[in-house]
Amino acid sequence: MLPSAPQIDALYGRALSVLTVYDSPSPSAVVINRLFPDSVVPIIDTLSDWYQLANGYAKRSDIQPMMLTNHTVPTPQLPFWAEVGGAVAIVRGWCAADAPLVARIGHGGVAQVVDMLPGEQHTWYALADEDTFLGWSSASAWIPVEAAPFEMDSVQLHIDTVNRTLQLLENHQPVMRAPIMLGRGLAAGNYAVHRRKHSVKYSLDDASKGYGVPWRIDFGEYSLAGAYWHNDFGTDKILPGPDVQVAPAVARWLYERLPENSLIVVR
Amino acid sequence: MIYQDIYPRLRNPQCDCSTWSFSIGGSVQHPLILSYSDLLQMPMVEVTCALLCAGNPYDELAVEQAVWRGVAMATLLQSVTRQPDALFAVIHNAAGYTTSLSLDWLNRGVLAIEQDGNPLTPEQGYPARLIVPGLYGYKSPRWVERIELTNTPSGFWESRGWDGDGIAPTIAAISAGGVHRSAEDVVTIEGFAYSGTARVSAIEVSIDHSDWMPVDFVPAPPAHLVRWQTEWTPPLAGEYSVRVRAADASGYVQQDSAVQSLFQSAQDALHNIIVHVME
Repeated sequence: MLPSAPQIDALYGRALSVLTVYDSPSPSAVVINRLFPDSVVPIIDTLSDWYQLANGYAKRSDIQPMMLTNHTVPTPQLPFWAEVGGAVAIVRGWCAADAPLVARIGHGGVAQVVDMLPGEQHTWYALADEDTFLGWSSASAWIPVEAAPFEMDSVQLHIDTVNRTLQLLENHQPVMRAPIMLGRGLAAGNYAVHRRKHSVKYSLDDASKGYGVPWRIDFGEYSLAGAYWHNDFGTDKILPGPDVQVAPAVARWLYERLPENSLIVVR
Repeated sequence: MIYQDIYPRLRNPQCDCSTWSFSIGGSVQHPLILSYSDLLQMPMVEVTCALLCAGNPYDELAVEQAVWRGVAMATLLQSVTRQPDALFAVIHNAAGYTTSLSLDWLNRGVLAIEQDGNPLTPEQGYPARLIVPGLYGYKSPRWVERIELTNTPSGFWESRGWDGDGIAPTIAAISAGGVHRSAEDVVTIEGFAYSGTARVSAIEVSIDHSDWMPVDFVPAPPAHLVRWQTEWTPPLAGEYSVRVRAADASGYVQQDSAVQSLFQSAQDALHNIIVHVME
């Protein structure tokens, strides 16, 4: 990790599914616990493909690292953008916990708050992405966020599809490197950023996973965005979703530094 | 409660064991007639099972497990010679209630006179009731007096649209966990599962429509109550939807899309509670 890169060595992680905890970092080790999906666990250490937790070990691919965020951000005027600061935000058809499920947006997902309804116990947010209304969600899961443009000189993003990494260069000097996941094969070439969106919906294999996909950057016929539904960045898997997938914190960092017409080089 | 309001004749009858009798008649060569004391002289068996009421919603779910002692219906049926058209049994009780069973299901039943080591209470059907493990409670009538073998099924609830087989489904329910809690407190969620005819093979809980997580339970035979418990730490204040589902050894898994029907299988739908977590 280069010095100016976003710090994603998290102290906490979110269980991406049912989390199996082992007594040692091996799939053949004794299972000592199982935790519900979206449980928040402290991460003590990273050991190759494993995280050491407070009471055992879990596969790295089963946990999404969580960014510690300031939860005391004052609520801006409507409408405003917000990200999921907790493990997950549940979006429902109306303001009730037993209302039909619309979406489950994981940590780092982004949506626009277009209305709010203070309740006796909880405030509800009405959410939309760039284009459409989504539903209602408990405000406690959301933190206001805005991508602050960060001026850089002669910035380029290099995407290495073989080694599954990307690198941001300023004046030909690397300033950030991060692992990626591919949604499909990318043709080598030079592209320009032609559109950016705070939040979009993708058609993934599980309908509830494709909402609030944050910080999309479109280049050529491709797109890059944050993915909160896996932690397989840097591996040779291909998962549905954005063509180039990075951790949400990385996506936001890039979004702030890659204005339209920036150069993206795919190798 | 509802059926007693609508059908007052189903109110508990007062039975006197000195005058009470039990008979098997209809399509048999010679009817069997037994007094209460005759019944006490017969070989007794014990069966442990839970009875599930078909008509209750989850928040008032009526399910009760007990050890029932009585005379096996197979033994009683061996005492009569059935005629060829004896395909079903219509059970009559002292309240005028009737229900019907196939002879195969009747053979699996017990004419019970004791519950958990004590004589049946009037509310539980004194002096004798039928117990058929695996079927809904409306197939195990209290205050049984007469069984008539026939070629046509009939019955009080059956004639009103309830299922003729009355096989109790595989279900799971949450009995505790929905009270107000503080964030980061451990919430104990517990409940039971039940399957009428197949062993419960899995119980799974989902928080806010997340992936289903299996929970631990002590395996039990079909028609037994299975208790389960799990712990969960809510990450934030808010309202959480907690659902449970069960699977059985036949491969059946309760489905998300299950819809409560008016009559049979009222508990097929997934049980859901809301856990309120305070700031």
